Amino acid sequence: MSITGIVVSSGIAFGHALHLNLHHEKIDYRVINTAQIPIEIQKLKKAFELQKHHLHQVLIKLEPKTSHFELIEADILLLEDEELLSQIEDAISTLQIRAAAAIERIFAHQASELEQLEDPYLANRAQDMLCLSHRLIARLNGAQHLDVSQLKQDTIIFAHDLTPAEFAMLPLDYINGLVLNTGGITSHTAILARSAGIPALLSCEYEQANIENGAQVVLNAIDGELVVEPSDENRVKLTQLMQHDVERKQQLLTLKDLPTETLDGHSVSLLANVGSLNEISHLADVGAEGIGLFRTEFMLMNTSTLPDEKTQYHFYCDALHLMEGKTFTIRTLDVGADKELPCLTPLIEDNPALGIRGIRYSLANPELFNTQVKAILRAANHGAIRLMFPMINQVEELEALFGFIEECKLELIEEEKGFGELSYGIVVETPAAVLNLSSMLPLLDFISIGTNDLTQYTMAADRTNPSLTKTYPSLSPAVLQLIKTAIDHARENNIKVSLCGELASDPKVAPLLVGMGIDELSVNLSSLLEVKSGLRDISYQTCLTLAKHALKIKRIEELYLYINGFK
Amino acid sequence: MMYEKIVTITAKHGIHTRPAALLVKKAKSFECNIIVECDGKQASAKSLFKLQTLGLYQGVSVKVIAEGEHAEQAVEEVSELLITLS
Repeated sequence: MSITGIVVSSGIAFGHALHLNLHHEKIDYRVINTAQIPIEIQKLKKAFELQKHHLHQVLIKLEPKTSHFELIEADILLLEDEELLSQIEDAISTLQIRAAAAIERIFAHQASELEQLEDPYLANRAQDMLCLSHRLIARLNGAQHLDVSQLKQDTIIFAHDLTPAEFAMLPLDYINGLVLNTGGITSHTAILARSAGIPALLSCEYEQANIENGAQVVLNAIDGELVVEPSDENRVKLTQLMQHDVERKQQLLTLKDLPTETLDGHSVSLLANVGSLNEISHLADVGAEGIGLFRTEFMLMNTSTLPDEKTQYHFYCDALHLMEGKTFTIRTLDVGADKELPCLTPLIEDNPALGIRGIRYSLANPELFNTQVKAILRAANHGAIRLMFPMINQVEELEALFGFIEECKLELIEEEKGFGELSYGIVVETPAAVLNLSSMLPLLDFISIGTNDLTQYTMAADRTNPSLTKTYPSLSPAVLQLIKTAIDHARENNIKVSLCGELASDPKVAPLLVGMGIDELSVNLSSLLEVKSGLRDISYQTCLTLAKHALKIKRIEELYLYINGFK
Repeated sequence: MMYEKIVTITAKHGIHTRPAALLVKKAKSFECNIIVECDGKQASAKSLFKLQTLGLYQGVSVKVIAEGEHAEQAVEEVSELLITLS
């Protein structure tokens, strides 16, 4: 039996299935020392907040006044219940137990009280209590419904969904593949899977196959197919496909130290999108010329407290050291929308993608932003850094930012801490940013086009909604026109144009972008050599022709066929 | 000044999660303390967690007690809800 899904990270993976949402959390019942008590209470409150936020998010998608809606509302009321919270807090401090143990204890007690009620209907609510308690305990463990001790080598993970934070906590060495019910090509987990080179299939309805934990599965993330308990014949075929894939990847490695230039010698900077020091240490493996996008939010994903200025300063210095003088572009914190961080209190918004995210979040949280900016300014004393800001629409925002940075510098002078000058850019990711470029460019050293969000905001199509991502791809006439407009504005101002969205990671599309006038492409580590191969196999003249024709095409499908059929 | 009123639960399945949630929302709209008493057990009408354990079945009688600002109105509205919820 085979099941299909969307390939978001290609490759073939053999392995044993493991379902992540089984709620097998082990609870630590040992007594803690008194110093730990306030920490556990803090964690408890955080877990409540996170779960509440999660439920609010779920509510947005439901019809009000339905029973489903009202039951979730009831859970929210429980999470806001001071009596409940104070009982758990009391258990933590008087019994000196961890938050998870206290939650388990109080909810179990409540459930047993409910079970004793004579009315079977009311007594049944005990199950709801236990369910909520499991979720909260899962939240405490970083919302990771995973008992890592169960993980063996060669695992293929199955989950309904996986947040970037949860993905970030997976022990990747053990994981051969990833299969999710939800998500699409530009969801953040997809990007992470691609970066990690883990074959992944998203929007895959695997429940129909009743795959048991430990079952042999083959993830064919080339053809977008999941094979359960394959026949011998099929196994041989897939093994060959995997070998072919591995060979192709090895062949690509021979390009590692060759320049990124077209057949007729037009050179392009090929940079990488990364999010961790570990990834930076792999830049040389694929011959990346630098970093076009360093996502600073990923450094905050596995921590429950915000790193202070000194910690961040050391982090950026370590990164600079690993960069060995190559181009290093940092994007300031881009939180909000589908990127939740355990160390930040989540915002409850009706439309997070249209809400306080990117630079809006940073400017609304000046202390947080001040710490990051000062740490980056100090690191710039040790090497060149390009700094770019996400979600900028207007020149006023840019002016406010530069005012903010000047204040940070004054503070550093007062504190007698050395700092360096930065180059500044913005991530162009809204139609407004494109249309307002002429007023902003005089203040900038470079721009970087973020095609994933630019597509989302141009099409008004949620990038995490798989039924929309197919209909509204980045490779579409409207998005190409906006990219072209941005390039034209930048050209007039002699400003360098980078492109850091997923669009650049497609080796068929990269030549089109170069033909349109992009100077720098920033792609995932796992796509970098494919893109280089694509550019080395084509002439600049052909790129120009490709761009000229593509910009005239009015239909998405026609555009797709033109680009993918082009030899 | 303390107000109280005794009412009988009519809802077929008693005050289970959903009606209880509505009750809590109503109670929370008042500043004053509101207590629901049933079979010798008491719970704050603002705490779904405590309210659940009272066992508000069809046919049992409950006493609603409130003290503080707008206590009389609170008792009236909460009692009214208790007998109309289904």
